[in-house]
Amino acid sequence: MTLAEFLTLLTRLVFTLVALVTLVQWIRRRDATRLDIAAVFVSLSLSVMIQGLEQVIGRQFPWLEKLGTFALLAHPYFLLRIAHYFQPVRPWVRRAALLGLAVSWAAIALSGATLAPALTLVIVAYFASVEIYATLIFIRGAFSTSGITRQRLRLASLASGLLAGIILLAGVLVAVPEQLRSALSPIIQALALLAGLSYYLGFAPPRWLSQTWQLTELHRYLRETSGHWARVPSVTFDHLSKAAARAVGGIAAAIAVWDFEANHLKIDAPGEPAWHVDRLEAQPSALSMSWRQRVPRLVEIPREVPAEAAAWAQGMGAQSLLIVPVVSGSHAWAMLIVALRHEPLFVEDDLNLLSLLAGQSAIVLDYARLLDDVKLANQALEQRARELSQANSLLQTLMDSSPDHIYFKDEHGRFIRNSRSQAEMLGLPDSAAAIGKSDFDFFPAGHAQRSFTEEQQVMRTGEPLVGLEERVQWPDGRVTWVSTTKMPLLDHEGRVIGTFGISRDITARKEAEDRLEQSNVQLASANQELEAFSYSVSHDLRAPLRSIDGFSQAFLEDYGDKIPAEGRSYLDRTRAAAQRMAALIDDLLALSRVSRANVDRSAVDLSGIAAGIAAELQREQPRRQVEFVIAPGMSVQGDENLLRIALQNLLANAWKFTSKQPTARIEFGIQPSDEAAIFFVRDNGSGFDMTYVDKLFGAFQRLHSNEQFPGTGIGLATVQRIFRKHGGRAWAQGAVDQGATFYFTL
Amino acid sequence: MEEKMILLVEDNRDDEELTLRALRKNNIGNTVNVVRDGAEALDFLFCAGEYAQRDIRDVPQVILLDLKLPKIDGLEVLRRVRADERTRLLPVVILTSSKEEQDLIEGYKQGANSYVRKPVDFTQFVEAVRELGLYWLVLNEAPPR
Repeated sequence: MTLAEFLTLLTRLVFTLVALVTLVQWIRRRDATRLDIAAVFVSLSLSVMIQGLEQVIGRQFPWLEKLGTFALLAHPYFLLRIAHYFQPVRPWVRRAALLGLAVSWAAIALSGATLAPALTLVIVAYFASVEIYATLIFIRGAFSTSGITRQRLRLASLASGLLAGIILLAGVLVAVPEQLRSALSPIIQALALLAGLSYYLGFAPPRWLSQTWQLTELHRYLRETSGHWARVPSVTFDHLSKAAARAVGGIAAAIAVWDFEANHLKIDAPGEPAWHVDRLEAQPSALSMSWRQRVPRLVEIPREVPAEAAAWAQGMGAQSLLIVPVVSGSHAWAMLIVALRHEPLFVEDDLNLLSLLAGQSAIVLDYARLLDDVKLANQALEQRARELSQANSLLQTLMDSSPDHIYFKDEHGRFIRNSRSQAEMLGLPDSAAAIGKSDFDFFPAGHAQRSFTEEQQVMRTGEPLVGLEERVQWPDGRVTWVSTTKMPLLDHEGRVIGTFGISRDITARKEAEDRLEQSNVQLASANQELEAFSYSVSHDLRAPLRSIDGFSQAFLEDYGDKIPAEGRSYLDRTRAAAQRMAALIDDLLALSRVSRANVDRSAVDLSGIAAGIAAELQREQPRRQVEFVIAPGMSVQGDENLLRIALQNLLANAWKFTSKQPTARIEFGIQPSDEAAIFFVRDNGSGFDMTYVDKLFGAFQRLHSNEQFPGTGIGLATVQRIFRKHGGRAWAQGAVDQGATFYFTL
Repeated sequence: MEEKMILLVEDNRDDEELTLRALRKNNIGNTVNVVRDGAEALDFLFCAGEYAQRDIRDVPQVILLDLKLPKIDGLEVLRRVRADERTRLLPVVILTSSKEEQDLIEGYKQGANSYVRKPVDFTQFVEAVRELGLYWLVLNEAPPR
């Protein structure tokens, strides 16, 4: 096989392959685009395929060869249809091409085996000019588009350009000598092979080439976006729509996002206010189908899209839309919508590329969201750290400034944290110095052991020990008293992990208590002495009085007739003085007893007691006419014995000082009052001068002579002392000869 | 033996004289044995010391007992009288100056039969002795010997 023969075979194979591939693609999809492509390559390859067939069979079929020639002549027209996908072909060009085709067909049909040179020139002119026209459109398209389309158009323009060149060359060859023609033939073969290969790569590229182109685009997209990975999805969407429009040669691209709150698709196109497509269920368009099925697709305008989207796309002169979901894993971020001027030639390629870009964007969005999540988590952590820091600073302030000792200990009784005040008492430079040490490092063993046992108890029972008072010997030898409360220290799950406590220095209080106790002891001893004294007075002071009185009486009885009347009077006075002194002693002892008595409170029926005393007084002096008016039901909380003594004194006083009244009246009652009830004992007796009211309640103070009204002057002092002991007081009102009123409260 | 004897326990000679006078005044002619302190009173009752020769069966009809006494005080005398089987039932009248509550309570607690405070007024004293004599020597049936 010569080189020429090999080239011929190779060329035939390539052309046949391209024709078959495009034909298969059309049969598989059966759309207008693929039919156009198939038409281009079948028309181009048919004659080659027929020649190959004839060679294989070994026979020639002239009518088949003529059919192949007809098909070949239709090739420029079909190429023009393809070019129309990239740039609208003017109508007169299309008409001129059709005219050229008709003329060519007619020339071939009418002429015999050889063609007139003039006709040949017409055919070559038609063929070459249309090819060149298409080539120019492809070149222009290659410059105006980018991405895979540009790659394909470059190859297509190369192929078309080569074909035009071959035709021109073939036209020229008709006119050149046979020798030169055979020399140029391999060049034409080589050019034809190159054209075939270019067509093959441009219109039916093998998978590896498509993927290489796609990866190139992807790489470019990634390079552009990697510098500024967006924190907000809109920026990523912006990048994606720009890259997508460029990659597939679209007019513009938009992003549709599902708005979950409003339940509609919101579409955001660059340079346009966002609009939305209402209710996917109500308008089952291709958009909503893509969103639901997550499948990329090509849709026609306006048939398959909602009116708003159609208006947007048509406003830019677009005829179709590429719709690609932006999906990562299970999360659907958005939908990418690319508006195309016309239906694309290579829909699969475009959709694949856009899916790749969209998938990559989705990963970027995922990362951005992840970053956002991490950032939020970080912010939450920082916030928590700030709160902790603030809480710690509050605690530190407390630990630094509290005069009370505050400490935290672990389960083994070792210090975790101490207040400054405690560290100072422990003789440490700062509170951190105590950490890890225990009471055994600072205090005598007994104290430390007791403290340890208490803490173990608190941890075991979970119950605090409140207000433990203990004597502490500090490392510097100082001794203080402290009141300590020990509590269990819990972790955040409520487990006991140690103890904490607060100790207050109560040395001053303890000393005061000691002093108080001492004075109480002294007081008790003084009271005892007083009691012994009273006892002695009661016994021993009365005995001589009894002798004085008794022997005076004996003297009077035995010798009264032997002494003058004056002498007997002296002895009577001696006896009276002795008896008066005995009365004084008795009253003094009573006052002393009242002073020492404890108030033993219970419910006391004052009315009943007063009635009893009144009856007693009446019985002692039955001849007196005295009207007692005692309010019923007067009851108080108090010491019955002491109150009886007080009432006895008050009523006996009233009885005594009304003794000169022919009709005496003594009233015991209660006065209404906002505060404590005010009781009173009122009489219509001789009364007293208010000038001396202050003296009334003093011991031994009397406003009347013994001759007027006998008495010791101790009774009211006793009364006042009893009411004072009850927390109340007594006071009096009166006027000479107009009676007196004694008030008291309890 | 049939005579109703009185035992007067009194350390104050004046009080002793006045008591005896009061008894005389009231025509109480019973024998009155006077002892001057608590120890002597116990010796008399239990026939010890200088009273060792006394017939222990000769028990007083009533004991007039002062509380404040030398050596052994009245309450202690009373306690021992009540503690001894032979004198357990003897009527004891406390005759004293004191009317301190604690003395009253303690006296009755130890089993005193009466508690009489000696008044300063001799007239009242004579009256009190008269009533005592009437009660303990005439009205009251002594416990069986």
